[in-house]
Amino acid sequence: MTQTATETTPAHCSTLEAAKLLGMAVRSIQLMVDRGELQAWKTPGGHRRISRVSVERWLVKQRAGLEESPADVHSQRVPPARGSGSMSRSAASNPASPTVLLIEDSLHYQHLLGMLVREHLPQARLEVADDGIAGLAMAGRLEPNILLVDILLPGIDGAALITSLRSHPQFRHSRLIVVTSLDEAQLAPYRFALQGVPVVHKTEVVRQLPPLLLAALADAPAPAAESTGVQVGS
Amino acid sequence: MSLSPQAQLACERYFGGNVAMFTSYRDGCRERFAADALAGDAALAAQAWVEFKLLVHSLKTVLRMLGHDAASELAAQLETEAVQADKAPLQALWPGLRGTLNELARG
Repeated sequence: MTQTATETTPAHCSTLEAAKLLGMAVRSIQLMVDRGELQAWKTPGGHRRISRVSVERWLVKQRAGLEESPADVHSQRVPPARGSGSMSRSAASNPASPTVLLIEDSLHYQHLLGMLVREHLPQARLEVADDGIAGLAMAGRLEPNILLVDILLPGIDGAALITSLRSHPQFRHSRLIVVTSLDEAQLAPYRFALQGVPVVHKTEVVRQLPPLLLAALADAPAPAAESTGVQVGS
Repeated sequence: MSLSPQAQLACERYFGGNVAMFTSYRDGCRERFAADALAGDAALAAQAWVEFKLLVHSLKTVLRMLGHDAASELAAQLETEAVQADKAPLQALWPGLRGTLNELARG
Protein backbone atom coordinates (compact mmCIF):
# COMPACT_ATOMS: atom_id res chain seq x y z
CA MET A 1 0.00 0.00 0.00
CA THR A 2 1.29 3.43 -0.87
CA GLN A 3 1.63 5.68 2.14
CA THR A 4 0.84 9.36 2.00
CA ALA A 5 3.36 12.03 2.90
CA THR A 6 1.40 12.70 6.07
CA GLU A 7 1.74 9.10 7.12
CA THR A 8 5.43 8.82 6.37
CA THR A 9 6.75 12.21 7.50
CA PRO A 10 7.38 12.42 11.25
CA ALA A 11 6.43 15.59 13.08
CA HIS A 12 10.01 16.15 14.17
CA CYS A 13 13.37 15.93 12.45
CA SER A 14 16.98 15.78 13.56
CA THR A 15 19.31 18.77 13.51
CA LEU A 16 21.04 17.30 10.46
CA GLU A 17 17.75 16.89 8.60
CA ALA A 18 16.73 20.44 9.47
CA ALA A 19 20.11 21.67 8.22
CA LYS A 20 19.53 19.92 4.91
CA LEU A 21 16.00 21.25 4.63
CA LEU A 22 17.14 24.82 5.23
CA GLY A 23 20.44 24.53 3.37
CA MET A 24 22.47 25.52 6.42
CA ALA A 25 25.16 24.14 8.65
CA VAL A 26 24.16 22.01 11.63
CA ARG A 27 25.67 24.67 13.87
CA SER A 28 23.34 27.28 12.43
CA ILE A 29 20.35 25.10 13.23
CA GLN A 30 21.57 24.69 16.82
CA LEU A 31 21.84 28.45 17.12
CA MET A 32 18.37 28.95 15.71
CA VAL A 33 16.95 26.50 18.25
CA ASP A 34 18.72 28.31 21.07
CA ARG A 35 17.34 31.60 19.84
CA GLY A 36 13.83 30.21 19.75
CA GLU A 37 13.51 30.53 15.97
CA LEU A 38 12.86 26.81 15.64
CA GLN A 39 10.84 24.77 18.10
CA ALA A 40 12.66 21.77 19.49
CA TRP A 41 12.98 19.38 22.37
CA LYS A 42 15.68 17.00 23.43
CA THR A 43 15.69 13.24 23.55
CA PRO A 44 16.91 11.55 26.73
CA GLY A 45 20.23 11.16 24.92
CA GLY A 46 20.50 14.91 24.49
CA HIS A 47 19.71 15.03 20.76
CA ARG A 48 17.56 17.83 19.47
CA ARG A 49 14.30 16.98 17.75
CA ILE A 50 13.04 19.89 15.73
CA SER A 51 9.42 20.54 14.82
CA ARG A 52 8.99 20.25 11.05
CA VAL A 53 6.20 22.80 11.24
CA SER A 54 8.60 25.36 12.70
CA VAL A 55 11.15 24.54 9.98
CA GLU A 56 8.54 25.03 7.28
CA ARG A 57 7.29 28.22 8.93
CA TRP A 58 10.83 29.60 9.01
CA LEU A 59 11.28 28.74 5.33
CA VAL A 60 8.10 30.58 4.43
CA LYS A 61 9.19 33.64 6.38
CA GLN A 62 12.65 33.47 4.86
CA ARG A 63 11.20 33.43 1.39
CA ALA A 64 9.06 36.39 2.30
CA GLY A 65 12.17 38.21 3.47
CA LEU A 66 11.01 38.48 7.05
CA GLU A 67 13.92 36.69 8.70
CA GLU A 68 17.63 37.26 9.00
CA SER A 69 19.86 35.80 6.34
CA PRO A 70 21.45 32.48 7.26
CA ALA A 71 24.84 34.17 7.47
CA ASP A 72 23.59 36.34 10.31
CA VAL A 73 22.68 33.32 12.34
CA HIS A 74 26.33 32.58 13.09
CA SER A 75 26.92 35.87 14.84
CA GLN A 76 25.17 35.11 18.12
CA ARG A 77 25.10 32.14 20.43
CA VAL A 78 22.78 33.16 23.19
CA PRO A 79 19.41 31.98 24.44
CA PRO A 80 16.65 34.34 23.39
CA ALA A 81 16.40 37.41 25.58
CA ARG A 82 13.09 37.80 27.34
CA GLY A 83 12.76 41.24 28.74
CA SER A 84 15.97 41.63 30.65
CA GLY A 85 18.18 43.10 27.97
CA SER A 86 19.96 41.36 25.17
CA MET A 87 23.54 41.11 24.02
CA SER A 88 24.37 43.79 21.51
CA ARG A 89 25.66 42.77 18.14
CA SER A 90 28.69 44.99 18.68
CA ALA A 91 29.55 43.02 21.77
CA ALA A 92 29.07 39.82 19.83
CA SER A 93 31.27 40.82 16.94
CA ASN A 94 33.90 42.90 18.72
CA PRO A 95 36.95 40.70 19.27
CA ALA A 96 37.98 42.91 22.21
CA SER A 97 34.82 42.02 24.12
CA PRO A 98 35.36 39.69 27.03
CA THR A 99 34.00 36.22 26.42
CA VAL A 100 31.88 34.19 28.79
CA LEU A 101 31.44 30.51 27.97
CA LEU A 102 28.45 28.90 29.65
CA ILE A 103 28.51 25.10 29.74
CA GLU A 104 25.01 24.10 30.82
CA ASP A 105 22.63 21.44 29.54
CA SER A 106 19.41 22.81 31.04
CA LEU A 107 17.63 25.23 28.74
CA HIS A 108 15.93 26.70 31.80
CA TYR A 109 19.25 27.67 33.28
CA GLN A 110 20.79 28.67 29.96
CA HIS A 111 18.00 31.23 29.91
CA LEU A 112 18.44 32.45 33.49
CA LEU A 113 22.24 32.51 33.45
CA GLY A 114 22.16 34.20 30.05
CA MET A 115 19.93 36.92 31.48
CA LEU A 116 22.32 37.46 34.38
CA VAL A 117 25.39 37.65 32.16
CA ARG A 118 23.72 40.07 29.77
CA GLU A 119 22.49 42.26 32.60
CA HIS A 120 25.71 42.42 34.57
CA LEU A 121 28.32 42.05 31.81
CA PRO A 122 26.58 43.78 28.88
CA GLN A 123 29.90 44.20 27.14
CA ALA A 124 30.57 40.47 27.16
CA ARG A 125 30.12 38.01 24.35
CA LEU A 126 28.19 35.02 25.66
CA GLU A 127 28.70 31.59 24.15
CA VAL A 128 26.78 28.51 25.23
CA ALA A 129 27.62 24.81 25.08
CA ASP A 130 25.00 22.36 26.22
CA ASP A 131 27.19 19.40 26.99
CA GLY A 132 30.60 18.87 28.51
CA ILE A 133 32.39 17.58 25.44
CA ALA A 134 31.20 20.46 23.26
CA GLY A 135 32.06 22.79 26.12
CA LEU A 136 35.63 21.59 26.30
CA ALA A 137 36.00 21.99 22.54
CA MET A 138 34.53 25.49 22.63
CA ALA A 139 36.69 26.45 25.60
CA GLY A 140 39.77 25.44 23.63
CA ARG A 141 38.68 27.46 20.64
CA LEU A 142 37.44 30.55 22.48
CA GLU A 143 39.80 30.74 25.47
CA PRO A 144 37.05 32.59 27.33
CA ASN A 145 37.67 35.09 30.11
CA ILE A 146 35.05 33.39 32.24
CA LEU A 147 33.95 29.75 32.22
CA LEU A 148 30.55 29.31 33.83
CA VAL A 149 30.08 25.58 34.23
CA ASP A 150 27.35 23.28 35.52
CA ILE A 151 29.04 20.33 37.18
CA LEU A 152 26.43 17.73 36.30
CA LEU A 153 26.38 17.39 32.54
CA PRO A 154 25.53 14.63 30.10
CA GLY A 155 28.42 12.83 28.51
CA ILE A 156 31.19 13.72 30.93
CA ASP A 157 32.00 13.41 34.60
CA GLY A 158 31.84 16.84 36.18
CA ALA A 159 35.02 16.37 38.20
CA ALA A 160 36.88 15.29 35.05
CA LEU A 161 35.61 18.34 33.20
CA ILE A 162 36.63 20.73 35.96
CA THR A 163 40.02 19.05 36.33
CA SER A 164 40.62 19.29 32.58
CA LEU A 165 39.72 22.95 32.55
CA ARG A 166 41.92 23.73 35.53
CA SER A 167 44.95 21.76 34.48
CA HIS A 168 45.24 22.75 30.84
CA PRO A 169 47.64 25.68 30.27
CA GLN A 170 45.40 26.89 27.47
CA PHE A 171 42.85 28.00 30.06
CA ARG A 172 45.27 29.78 32.36
CA HIS A 173 43.69 33.11 31.44
CA SER A 174 40.19 31.91 32.20
CA ARG A 175 38.33 32.23 35.45
CA LEU A 176 36.05 29.37 36.43
CA ILE A 177 32.73 29.60 38.26
CA VAL A 178 30.71 26.47 38.95
CA VAL A 179 26.92 26.52 39.17
CA THR A 180 25.05 23.50 40.44
CA SER A 181 21.80 22.10 41.78
CA LEU A 182 23.70 19.54 43.84
CA ASP A 183 23.34 19.84 47.61
CA GLU A 184 26.26 19.66 50.02
CA ALA A 185 26.15 15.87 50.32
CA GLN A 186 25.89 15.40 46.56
CA LEU A 187 28.84 17.76 46.05
CA ALA A 188 31.12 15.73 48.30
CA PRO A 189 32.61 13.57 45.51
CA TYR A 190 33.54 16.73 43.63
CA ARG A 191 35.19 18.59 46.51
CA PHE A 192 38.72 17.74 45.47
CA ALA A 193 38.21 19.01 41.93
CA LEU A 194 36.45 22.13 43.21
CA GLN A 195 39.08 23.33 45.67
CA GLY A 196 39.49 27.07 45.28
CA VAL A 197 36.67 27.38 42.76
CA PRO A 198 33.59 29.49 43.53
CA VAL A 199 30.53 27.23 43.60
CA VAL A 200 27.06 28.76 43.44
CA HIS A 201 23.90 26.79 44.06
CA LYS A 202 21.44 27.49 41.29
CA THR A 203 18.79 28.77 43.66
CA GLU A 204 21.26 31.49 44.68
CA VAL A 205 22.56 32.53 41.26
CA VAL A 206 20.60 35.77 41.07
CA ARG A 207 22.18 37.04 44.28
CA GLN A 208 25.59 35.40 44.23
CA LEU A 209 26.61 35.21 40.60
CA PRO A 210 26.76 38.91 39.61
CA PRO A 211 29.56 39.88 42.04
CA LEU A 212 31.47 36.75 41.08
CA LEU A 213 31.17 37.59 37.39
CA LEU A 214 32.40 41.12 37.94
CA ALA A 215 35.27 39.95 40.13
CA ALA A 216 36.24 37.24 37.67
CA LEU A 217 36.34 39.68 34.80
CA ALA A 218 38.37 42.18 36.80
CA ASP A 219 40.75 39.43 37.86
CA ALA A 220 41.18 37.66 34.54
CA PRO A 221 44.33 38.80 32.75
CA ALA A 222 44.14 39.74 29.10
CA PRO A 223 45.16 36.80 26.93
CA ALA A 224 47.91 38.86 25.32
CA ALA A 225 49.57 39.55 28.68
CA GLU A 226 51.62 36.39 29.12
CA SER A 227 52.17 35.49 32.71
CA THR A 228 53.01 32.42 34.67
CA GLY A 229 51.34 30.82 37.61
CA VAL A 230 47.85 31.96 36.68
CA GLN A 231 45.39 29.12 37.00
CA VAL A 232 41.77 28.61 36.22
CA GLY A 233 40.11 29.13 39.53
CA SER A 234 38.69 31.67 41.85
CA MET B 1 2.24 43.07 37.41
CA SER B 2 0.73 40.88 40.13
CA LEU B 3 2.10 37.54 41.23
CA SER B 4 0.40 34.82 43.22
CA PRO B 5 1.46 34.75 46.88
CA GLN B 6 3.68 31.70 46.29
CA ALA B 7 5.25 33.30 43.23
CA GLN B 8 5.78 36.54 45.15
CA LEU B 9 7.52 34.61 47.90
CA ALA B 10 9.75 32.80 45.40
CA CYS B 11 10.50 36.08 43.64
CA GLU B 12 11.62 37.62 46.92
CA ARG B 13 13.56 34.57 48.04
CA TYR B 14 15.38 33.63 44.83
CA PHE B 15 15.27 36.74 42.65
CA GLY B 16 15.77 39.43 45.26
CA GLY B 17 12.34 40.84 44.40
CA ASN B 18 13.25 41.42 40.74
CA VAL B 19 9.80 40.80 39.29
CA ALA B 20 10.86 41.39 35.69
CA MET B 21 13.57 38.76 35.89
CA PHE B 22 11.30 36.35 37.74
CA THR B 23 8.51 36.62 35.18
CA SER B 24 10.93 36.39 32.26
CA TYR B 25 12.41 33.23 33.75
CA ARG B 26 8.96 31.81 34.56
CA ASP B 27 7.66 32.49 31.06
CA GLY B 28 10.73 30.85 29.52
CA CYS B 29 10.26 27.82 31.74
CA ARG B 30 6.59 27.52 30.82
CA GLU B 31 7.55 27.36 27.17
CA ARG B 32 9.78 24.38 27.89
CA PHE B 33 7.81 22.38 30.42
CA ALA B 34 5.83 20.46 27.79
CA ALA B 35 9.11 19.39 26.17
CA ASP B 36 10.40 18.36 29.60
CA ALA B 37 7.32 16.19 30.07
CA LEU B 38 7.94 14.52 26.73
CA ALA B 39 11.62 14.02 27.53
CA GLY B 40 10.71 12.40 30.84
CA ASP B 41 8.25 10.06 29.14
CA ALA B 42 10.88 9.08 26.60
CA ALA B 43 13.58 8.53 29.21
CA LEU B 44 11.29 6.42 31.37
CA ALA B 45 10.14 4.34 28.42
CA ALA B 46 13.74 3.74 27.37
CA GLN B 47 14.81 3.10 30.97
CA ALA B 48 17.42 5.79 30.40
CA TRP B 49 17.99 6.38 34.09
CA VAL B 50 20.90 8.77 33.80
CA GLU B 51 19.01 11.04 31.43
CA PHE B 52 15.90 10.82 33.57
CA LYS B 53 17.90 11.70 36.67
CA LEU B 54 19.49 14.70 34.94
CA LEU B 55 16.04 15.92 33.92
CA VAL B 56 14.38 15.69 37.32
CA HIS B 57 17.53 16.96 39.04
CA SER B 58 17.27 20.15 37.01
CA LEU B 59 13.48 20.41 37.40
CA LYS B 60 13.81 20.11 41.16
CA THR B 61 15.59 23.47 41.33
CA VAL B 62 13.69 25.12 38.49
CA LEU B 63 10.35 24.40 40.16
CA ARG B 64 11.59 25.50 43.56
CA MET B 65 12.75 28.83 42.14
CA LEU B 66 9.28 29.37 40.68
CA GLY B 67 7.59 28.67 44.01
CA HIS B 68 6.22 25.23 43.16
CA ASP B 69 7.60 23.56 46.26
CA ALA B 70 5.43 20.44 46.17
CA ALA B 71 6.40 19.74 42.57
CA SER B 72 10.03 20.40 43.45
CA GLU B 73 9.80 17.84 46.25
CA LEU B 74 8.30 15.35 43.85
CA ALA B 75 11.17 15.94 41.43
CA ALA B 76 13.62 15.41 44.28
CA GLN B 77 11.91 12.12 45.14
CA LEU B 78 12.14 11.05 41.52
CA GLU B 79 15.82 11.97 41.46
CA THR B 80 16.44 9.76 44.48
CA GLU B 81 14.51 6.88 42.92
CA ALA B 82 16.31 7.32 39.59
CA VAL B 83 19.61 6.68 41.33
CA GLN B 84 18.20 3.28 42.36
CA ALA B 85 17.18 2.62 38.73
CA ASP B 86 13.97 0.97 39.93
CA LYS B 87 11.26 1.46 37.36
CA ALA B 88 8.20 0.81 39.55
CA PRO B 89 8.44 3.83 41.88
CA LEU B 90 9.43 6.04 38.97
CA GLN B 91 6.39 4.95 37.01
CA ALA B 92 4.24 5.63 40.05
CA LEU B 93 5.65 9.10 40.76
CA TRP B 94 6.35 10.49 37.30
CA PRO B 95 2.74 11.02 36.16
CA GLY B 96 2.26 13.48 39.02
CA LEU B 97 5.19 15.61 37.97
CA ARG B 98 4.37 15.28 34.29
CA GLY B 99 0.83 16.49 35.01
CA THR B 100 2.16 19.51 36.87
CA LEU B 101 4.57 20.33 34.05
CA ASN B 102 1.82 20.17 31.46
CA GLU B 103 -0.45 22.24 33.65
CA LEU B 104 2.23 24.89 34.10
CA ALA B 105 2.95 24.84 30.37
CA ARG B 106 -0.67 25.79 29.75
CA GLY B 107 -0.22 28.75 32.07
